[in-house]
Amino acid sequence: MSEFVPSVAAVAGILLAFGFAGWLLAPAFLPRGAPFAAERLGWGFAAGLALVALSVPLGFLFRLRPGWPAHLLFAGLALAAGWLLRRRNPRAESRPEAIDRPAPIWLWGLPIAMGCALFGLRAMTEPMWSNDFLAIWGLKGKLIFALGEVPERLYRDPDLAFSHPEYPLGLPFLYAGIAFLLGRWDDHAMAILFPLIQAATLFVLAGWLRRRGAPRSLALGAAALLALDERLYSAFHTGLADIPLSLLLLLLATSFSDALDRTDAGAPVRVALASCLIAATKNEGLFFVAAALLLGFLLGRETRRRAQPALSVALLLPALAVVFAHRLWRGSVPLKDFDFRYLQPSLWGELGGRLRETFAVALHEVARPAWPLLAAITILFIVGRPTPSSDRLLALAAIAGAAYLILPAFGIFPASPEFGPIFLVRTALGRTFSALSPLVAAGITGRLTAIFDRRARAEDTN
Amino acid sequence: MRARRLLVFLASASLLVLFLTREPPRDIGRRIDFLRRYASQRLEVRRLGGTSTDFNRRYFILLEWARRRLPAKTPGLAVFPDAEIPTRGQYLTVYHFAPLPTEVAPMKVPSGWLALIQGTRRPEGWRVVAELPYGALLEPAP
Repeated sequence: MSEFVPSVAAVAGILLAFGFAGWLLAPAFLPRGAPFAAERLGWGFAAGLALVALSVPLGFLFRLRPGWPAHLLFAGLALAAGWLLRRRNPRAESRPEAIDRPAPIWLWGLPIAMGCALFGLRAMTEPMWSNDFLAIWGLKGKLIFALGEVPERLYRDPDLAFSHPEYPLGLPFLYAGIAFLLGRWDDHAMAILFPLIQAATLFVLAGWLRRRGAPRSLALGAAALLALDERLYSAFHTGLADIPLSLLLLLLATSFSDALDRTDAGAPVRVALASCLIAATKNEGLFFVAAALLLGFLLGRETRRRAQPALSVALLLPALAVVFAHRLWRGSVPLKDFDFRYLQPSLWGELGGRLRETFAVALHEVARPAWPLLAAITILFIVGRPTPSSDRLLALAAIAGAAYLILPAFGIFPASPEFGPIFLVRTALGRTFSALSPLVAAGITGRLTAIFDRRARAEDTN
Repeated sequence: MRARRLLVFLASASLLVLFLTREPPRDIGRRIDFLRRYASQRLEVRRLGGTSTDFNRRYFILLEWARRRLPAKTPGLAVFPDAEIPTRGQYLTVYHFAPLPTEVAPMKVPSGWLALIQGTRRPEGWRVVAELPYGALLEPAP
């Protein structure tokens, strides 16, 4: 284990050190105190990753070679700014002790630990190998690290078109940032990023559910099931953007729900942070932001009219700033695999055929094999009680799911026109849907709170 | 209420069973075995033993030998496998040599680039820079 173990330990140390910096930064957008403690770990880790990634383009911008001095400088500046903001976020009151007798911690701790260990094993078995890591995320990160810049040829060289120049650079910057801090490119040790993101996701999931009233058993049970979900936490997904996206989607949705309910003064800042990070990670991040904006208008119209402008600004501005920064950096790069001209009335007939083809293949090759999973989730949804804070999450997941389902119908592959929508359904639909898992887990479990929490049940019967 | 809780329990238990049975236990054993065998090896050897090179491990051995023998100021590299390789093989090639501009089996080798040829073929107009396991690194003959 001469080279492998020290490298993994070094990368884990880097990530945990910046995760700690993010944890210190968290009071700028998350109240201190026990109710937010678990979420602070997850948000702090995400903020730490943002520091690692963002320091790379900032370093290029200010002509500072990314590495420990530059990263520490930018982290220090972020912490100073966070320290100024933290005063606006008072300490949260501790929640009264739950009436329910909590299940022994090992009952849920064991499957959670098992899920994390299994994914750790899957992720760390070998250097990251998935097509999209080699062709897109890893390639860009390696180029940025090795050249000390974002090379122009990523956007101009037709031989690199497979690397999807139109994708945002958040994850490549994160890889490059880790490599700058490590001092070398190690695509095996860097895989430790993914089990750590899984752990952060579980903290946010369980923490948010607990804070929103779920009994401990329910919150930890949801975390245990999610931890064991190999559809999301797979070897294939290690290195790709879907696992980071799944965390960011959870962050966006829970903070969005908090902001609508005005749970604390930091909620809009969390929305802004999540909006920025999700737009920097995948193109559909911008779509999720737009979907949340739409939901905010529909759901918050009557009860929270005054919160709307602040929430809209928090959602939109950071995402647009990220998109604008990419535009400045690389110019306008059109989406490569999709043709939205099918929306023109003259092409509606063809679009209809493509939609039918998409749905048929999705039903036969994706939904049918997964019917036991879908049946169990449907039962849990039906059995639960309408809960606005959680239903918003499910509404966002439903919009995202519908978009993922429809999108392949617009798929084009000029080099291989015979592929069409079917290719996208087969290669991407299951993967993209899996990124919605944390969101669905939070939404479904939130709806179950009312039937497991004795206080809620007592209120029901009174 | 009790019925609802029972349904929740049954549905959750089903999910647990589904998730736990999705990954064959032999896969876990295979991963542990891989780590035990390869963790002490260099990064390139770990990649050689892994999934990304399973389409043609000899091809990757050639790539790695070439990477070590490339002259410092090589402007680019054209790689010619001895048989058609899958798309992921092309991605692996470009990724492995990054940041060096690399193309797999281009119609025309850009001026000044070196060529890496798998197999024994040595085309006219090219001079061998280094004979390597499973192929050779070549440069345009003067």
